[in-house]
Amino acid sequence: MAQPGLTLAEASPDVLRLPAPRVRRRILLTARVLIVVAALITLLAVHYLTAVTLSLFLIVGQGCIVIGALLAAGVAITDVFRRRGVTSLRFEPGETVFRQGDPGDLVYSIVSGEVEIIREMPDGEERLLATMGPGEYFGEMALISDAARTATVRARTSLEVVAMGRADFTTLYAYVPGLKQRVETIMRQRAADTARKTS
Amino acid sequence: MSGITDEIAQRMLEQPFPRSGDFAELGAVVTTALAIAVLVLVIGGALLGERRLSPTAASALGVLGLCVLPVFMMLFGAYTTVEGSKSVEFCHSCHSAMNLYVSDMEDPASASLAAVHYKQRWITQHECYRCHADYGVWGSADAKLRGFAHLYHWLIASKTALGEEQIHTYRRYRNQICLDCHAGGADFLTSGRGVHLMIARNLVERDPDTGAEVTSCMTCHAPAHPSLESWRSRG
Ligand code: HEC
Ligand code: HEC
Ligand code: HEC
Repeated sequence: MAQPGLTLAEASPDVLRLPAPRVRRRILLTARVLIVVAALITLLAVHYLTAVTLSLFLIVGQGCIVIGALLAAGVAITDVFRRRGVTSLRFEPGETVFRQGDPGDLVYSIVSGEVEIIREMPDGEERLLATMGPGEYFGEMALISDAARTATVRARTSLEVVAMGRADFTTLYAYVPGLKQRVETIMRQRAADTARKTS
Repeated sequence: MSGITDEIAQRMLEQPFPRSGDFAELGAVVTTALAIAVLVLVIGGALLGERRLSPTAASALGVLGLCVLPVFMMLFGAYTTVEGSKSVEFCHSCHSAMNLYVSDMEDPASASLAAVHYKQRWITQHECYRCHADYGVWGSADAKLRGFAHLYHWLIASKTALGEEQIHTYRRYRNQICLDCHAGGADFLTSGRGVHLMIARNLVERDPDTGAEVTSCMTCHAPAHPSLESWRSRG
């Protein structure tokens, strides 16, 4: 945890700062659109070859492929960093960190800001299970039990978290003395809390 | 017996045998398969979302659908289209501008050099390209740029693009291309009482001003194509 009065960047300058998930989604969407356009142009040029479709393919199609593939490769590389090692992520107020039912890949510790833990009931109603603030962590449950996320987590304020991938977390969880007991105690408390609030 | 009648056999000889199975056709099949795979992976991936897949599987599919396959699609697509652009039909795709050249070449009654080469099947495929290999994507960098400049002609519907004005070449036709086929040919060396050997130096030595050989083959073997005017008067 960062010491009081120190920003994360000052306390641990080596933590890799990745683009916000929102930015990542936009880049991925751009790459997808470019590649789909390129595939359509390629089909057109191969099956209806004229001077116009050839030029379209050579200039626009190939341009889309090069840019789209580079963007997608960038996303894939940052995804590898996100899953391996400790990274820092920022969210805007109201932005979702993960959704109930998502596969669990990271465990998060809050550096600054607050989150809401929300249970989505089968009828679509949302129930607030808890709010958490700096120093608290969430997301460990899906990693330990290797299941989908059991709740949705949303940023209440502008949020900075430190995230750790499954591999690192399970190693620490197995080998750091006392960690397993502490996490299990907290998990039991939260499970009891949740049962109370959703019944 | 195969059951081929004289009539069928004669008709078979009267037209070029169909070609099949060349690499360009294979390229088209591979490119199509790649493009469809890319569309399925990318659109399917976006619809299914990353929620149903484990993050590692989603990442791997993303890299496959957005990087690996598209790059192969680009390579095979470039090969197929650039190979396809050698065809006479491709030249004819700029119909208004090229119709004169294509229809004259394919006209058995025409005596132009292109038509003679075509009707005797001295050039067996990609006829325009074979005599104009220094044009378009096939030529030097500036020829490629000009190819794109001609696209601009098409866009603004210039008079040459519409076939209303005679097309002129940027520089003199290079003997090099004729000699690719004819140099070393027995008839070429002896016919016209050996005229080609007599003027050999002028046929191969380049004039630094024009970039072409001092004496063009066209000096004596013109016309390669009819002029716009004569073609029009032919009706
Ligand atoms: C036997 C070789 C040959 C073939 C086949 C041939 N050309 Fe040509 N083409 C020439 C030569 C040689 C010239 C240059 C004529 C000159 O300088 O007098 C030329 C010139 C041209 C020009 C410039 C305008 C002009 O008349 O000088 C165009 C356009 C052209 N060719 C298009 C075509 C197209 C389209 C085809 C296929 C339908 C084709 N050519 C097939 C040899 C050929
Ligand atoms: C793809 C090969 C090829 C190219 C390129 C080519 N020719 Fe030919 N040409 C032939 C063949 C094959 C013949 C028939 C055999 C022969 O006469 O040498 C022929 C025949 C000729 C003839 C004799 C025509 C007749 O009526 O008997 C002339 C003249 C000629 N070519 C000139 C040219 C000129 C000029 C060019 C360049 C614009 C050219 N050729 C380009 C393959 C080619
Ligand atoms: C000075 C004029 C002249 C020039 C320039 C010239 N030729 Fe010829 N060419 C002739 C004459 C004359 C004949 C014989 C025509 C005949 O016998 O009907 C001939 C015949 C040919 C033939 C036909 C051979 C055969 O009998 O089948 C070919 C092929 C040919 N020329 C190619 C070329 C090429 C290629 C060039 C350019 C490198 C060229 N010529 C330049 C005058 C010329």
